[in-house]
Amino acid sequence: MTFVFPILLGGLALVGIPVLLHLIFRQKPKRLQFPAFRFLVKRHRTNLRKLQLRHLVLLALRVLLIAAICLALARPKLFYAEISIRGDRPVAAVFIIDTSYSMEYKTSDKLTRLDEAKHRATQLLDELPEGSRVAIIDSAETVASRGAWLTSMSQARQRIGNLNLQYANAPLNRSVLAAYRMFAEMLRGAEDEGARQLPRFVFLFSDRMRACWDAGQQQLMLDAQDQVPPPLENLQELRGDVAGLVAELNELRKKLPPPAGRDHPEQSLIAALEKLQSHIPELRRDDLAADQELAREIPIIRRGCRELLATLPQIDSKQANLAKDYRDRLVAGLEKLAQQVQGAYGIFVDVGVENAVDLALWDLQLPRGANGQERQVFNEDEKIILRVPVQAFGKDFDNEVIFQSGGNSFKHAMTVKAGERSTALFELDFAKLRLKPGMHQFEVRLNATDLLPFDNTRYLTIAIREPQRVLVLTDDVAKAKFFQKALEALRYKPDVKQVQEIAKIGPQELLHYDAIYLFNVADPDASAWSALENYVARGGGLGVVPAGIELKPAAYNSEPAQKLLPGTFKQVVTATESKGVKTGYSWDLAKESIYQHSMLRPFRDWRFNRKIDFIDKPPVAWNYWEIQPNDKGTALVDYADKKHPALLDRRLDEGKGGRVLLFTTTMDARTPEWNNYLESLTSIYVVLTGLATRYLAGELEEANLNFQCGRDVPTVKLPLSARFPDYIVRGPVFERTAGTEGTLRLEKADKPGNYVVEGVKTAADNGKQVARFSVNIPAGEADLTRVPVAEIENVLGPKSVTTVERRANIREVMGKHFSEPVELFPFLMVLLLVVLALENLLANKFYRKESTPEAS
Amino acid sequence: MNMNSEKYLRPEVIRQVARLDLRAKFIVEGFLAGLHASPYHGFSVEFSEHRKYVAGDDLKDLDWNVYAKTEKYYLKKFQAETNVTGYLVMDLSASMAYTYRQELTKFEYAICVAAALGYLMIHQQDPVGLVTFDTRIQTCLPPRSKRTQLGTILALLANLKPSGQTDVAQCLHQLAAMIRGRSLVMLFSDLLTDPEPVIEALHHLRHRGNEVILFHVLDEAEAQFPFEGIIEFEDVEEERRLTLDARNMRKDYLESLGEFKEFYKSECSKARIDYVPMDTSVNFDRALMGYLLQRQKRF
Repeated sequence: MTFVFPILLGGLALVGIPVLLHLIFRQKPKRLQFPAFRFLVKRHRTNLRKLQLRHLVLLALRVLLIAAICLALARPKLFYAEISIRGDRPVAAVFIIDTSYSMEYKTSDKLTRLDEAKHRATQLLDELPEGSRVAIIDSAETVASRGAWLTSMSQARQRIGNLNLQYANAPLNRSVLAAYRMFAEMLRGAEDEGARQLPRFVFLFSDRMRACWDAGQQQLMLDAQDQVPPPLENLQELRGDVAGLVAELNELRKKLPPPAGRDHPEQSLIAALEKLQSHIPELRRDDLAADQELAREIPIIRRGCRELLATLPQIDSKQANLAKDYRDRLVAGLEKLAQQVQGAYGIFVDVGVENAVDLALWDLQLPRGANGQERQVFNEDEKIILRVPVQAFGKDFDNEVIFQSGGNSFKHAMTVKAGERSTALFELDFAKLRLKPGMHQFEVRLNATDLLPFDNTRYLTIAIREPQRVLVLTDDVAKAKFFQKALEALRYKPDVKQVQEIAKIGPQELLHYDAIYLFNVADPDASAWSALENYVARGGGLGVVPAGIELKPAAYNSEPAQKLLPGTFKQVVTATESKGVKTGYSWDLAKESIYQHSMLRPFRDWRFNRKIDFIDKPPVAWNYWEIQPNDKGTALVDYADKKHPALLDRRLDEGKGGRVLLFTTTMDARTPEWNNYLESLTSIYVVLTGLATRYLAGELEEANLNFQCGRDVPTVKLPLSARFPDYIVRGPVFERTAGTEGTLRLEKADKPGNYVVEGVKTAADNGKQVARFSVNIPAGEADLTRVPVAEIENVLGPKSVTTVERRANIREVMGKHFSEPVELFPFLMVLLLVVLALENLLANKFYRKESTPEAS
Repeated sequence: MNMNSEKYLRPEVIRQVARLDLRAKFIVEGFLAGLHASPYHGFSVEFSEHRKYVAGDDLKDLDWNVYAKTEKYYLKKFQAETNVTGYLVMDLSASMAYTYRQELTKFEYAICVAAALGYLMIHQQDPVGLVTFDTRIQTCLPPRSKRTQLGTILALLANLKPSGQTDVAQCLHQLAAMIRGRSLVMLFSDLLTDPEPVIEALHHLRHRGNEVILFHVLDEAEAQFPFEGIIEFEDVEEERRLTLDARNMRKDYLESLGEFKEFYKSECSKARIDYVPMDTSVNFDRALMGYLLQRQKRF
């Protein structure tokens, strides 16, 4: 309650006057002689009590009369203590509006949820007092663009009016975090003193569908909340409530013992409350944000409140049922406390509908590769299964899923029961589909439209690769025979050449190779190193498989070589022989850190699988080159016994250039054997060749051709041989961008659809297609499961979620959250008149003067 | 007759009494027949019959005129057999001096009624005496049927001032012992004392063969309790006070009073005593006439 003229409340002291007058001029009753006194004596006690009661009533009425006059003159205004949007007091409010595509859902009145949210937000905006600070955040905004307080209400209205559905959205948690940060900055900001004193609100307008709220960020949000101290008025109100609440909390353990395995945090809560209680009188409004004591105690109180409010309703025992009243009382007290220590009131206006009806194409699932990720690059002759999960909400659906590939379309009829997910399977035989090497795009859609169109179509891009070209430079082509076979088996197209031929190939032609191996070369010259350096610098991958004892370390340790290599060659390490048995060196796969590298990542899962031959019988090397990693190189894996690197890696130009992989033992068939990799005991030779080549060719960093709106910015890897000064992106969004590096980040391509990237040399150039990609709405966005209210209230506070009735206006919607101050003056005047009339009536009846003569 | 006694013969009072007087014959022949329903002959001074003198008769009752004419001794029968002796018995307690807003106090009202009855009785030659009492019998004026007797009674009453406490029962017992022969005892009191001893005393009077008429005189304020507001009531005869809300008390008071009167009525009825409740707001002649008419019907 506030008063326009609080000083007039001093007049309340006057209520003592009637009491005083009553005592001083207590009515002297008329004295009468009365002979029939004996008949009065009998029943006078009841009458006396009635008389005293009437005296008291009259006195009370007179006191009330004066109090009502004083109160009326002070012009009180009533508002709800919980949340104070007061008619005359500005507030700082951040409006967060969900613009994700689930908000496209239309109700019977043809309004989308976004229309409803905008309507409600505008209504609320109109209700805010003059001078309020408002910021509008939509869930699609990037963090960088957030945090602007709008200068006027009309600007805010315009901003809300311009909001549209956005494909790229983050959960609202991110926006709430931004709002808390804005409040924290506002409180710390020195320039605007008035703003620091405003009550703070975060209003969220959303359909409360699953994708809008990420429960995983709860702690992050609570931490951010702790940066915003509660308003001073709340703390002052809290001060009066502490004693009662502490008394209740002291009873807690006795009346409601904690459930097994849990404990009540009431002791820390009590301690924090008592500290805060004694600290509140010292607080000044300007110092709230900087007050250390407050910053220490408020999080403890908030946490204690949250934990107890979560625990108390769960305690279910005989004793707890007996203490039901106590529990209700304590819960109410804690809820009030939680409100009082809120730095910013969060109100979630739920504009969603229960039991929404929709059939959604949930996702497109490609087969997964060895690294567990979905493959998006395939060979020309492969057959794959595309899985299309379809989710039904609200009712059963009979529908068809259509797979569209160029002019061909394939249908899959299916029935999906309400709340269930069924999967349509499409077998894609690339040969039958006559898909040539290159990138291909498809569209998958549902045959019928529904209330939520956005999740009825999804897009897909895959690449059919040509056999990748691998150049193997060697001293002796014959010795590279097995390596060549392995590459061929792995569907690569190897060119095995003498190392000297590199000079003939020319730098431009080298770029057509996806990977180059320096295989078994004893003494590569400077020109070879220079050509290779040029290749790697442009993003190429070089694998170096050393020769045996014939290798000249000087050639590898030379300056041009060291520009590329990850280490220097020291010496050959040979296994010791004991009783005719040579104990070889195997890789140390125990170290978890080695699996960070994409080439070795598959070993993480393989290492425990004894069915894999090279895990069951680990391959060993009896001889290897001891290599000292240089400052640019990294040992990927060591030999178990010696701790010398077994495999080394180097990324050029801090990752912008290509990569160099250095083996330490030979990969040819030689005598004496340096290792048993080539023996038919295990498949390690092929596996190692495959992993190394895929790594060098950049395949292991899965070429990503399918992106999700809002989750990742489409990033296109450009082929080595097709670099252009400019690129054009064609698709739902047109974008022209300059590209100098190996990848293109296409931030504007955030709408679902299939995109084509073309390289152009000049403005007039028609452009050459260099890449394709698809963008889809994240699978979760189509999830029409409602977020449990508790998840939101865990962060925003108890009873913060408000459901919207369709025809109700915002005041009704906000209910007790929205308390327009009630001017009590007229009511007090009515009360005053009533009291005055009653007083007169009673006093007249009471002290009526007798017209008849006094007793004789 | 001093000034005080004249008060009861003020024109309006006389008018009232005179009205009774005008109706004297009516009353004598009718009402008084009922009033003392006597087994004796005659009610007036008028001669009814003679009887022969027998030895022992009082010589003063001899009718000398008859003797002169006939030389036979005859006695005037009426002289020897006066119908009834009346006693006007007045309560002198302080409470009888009370009036709230009426012209007459209860005592004055009682005097008026007594005067009227005395007038009637004397008018028909019935002797009337006066007894006043408070805690004991104060005055006792022997019954006479002289016309001056009324003036004497009134003069005596006018000089009395009701004051102090009363003991009705004791005084009635005393009176019962004092009265010789059967008499008509007309008691005027507000009876504001414990009723049981009074009833007992009345029984005593009846037991002695007396006819008793109990005039229960209350002030209009006592009968109707017309008070409003907060009033401190003070007892007249004792030092007692009570502060009460009169309006709220009225119902309770009237109930108590009603019970009290009902008690007297029923007890008197059992003892064949005429209980005549009166309040000072009703003109005494009307009240008296009402009673007499009612009594006439009974006999």
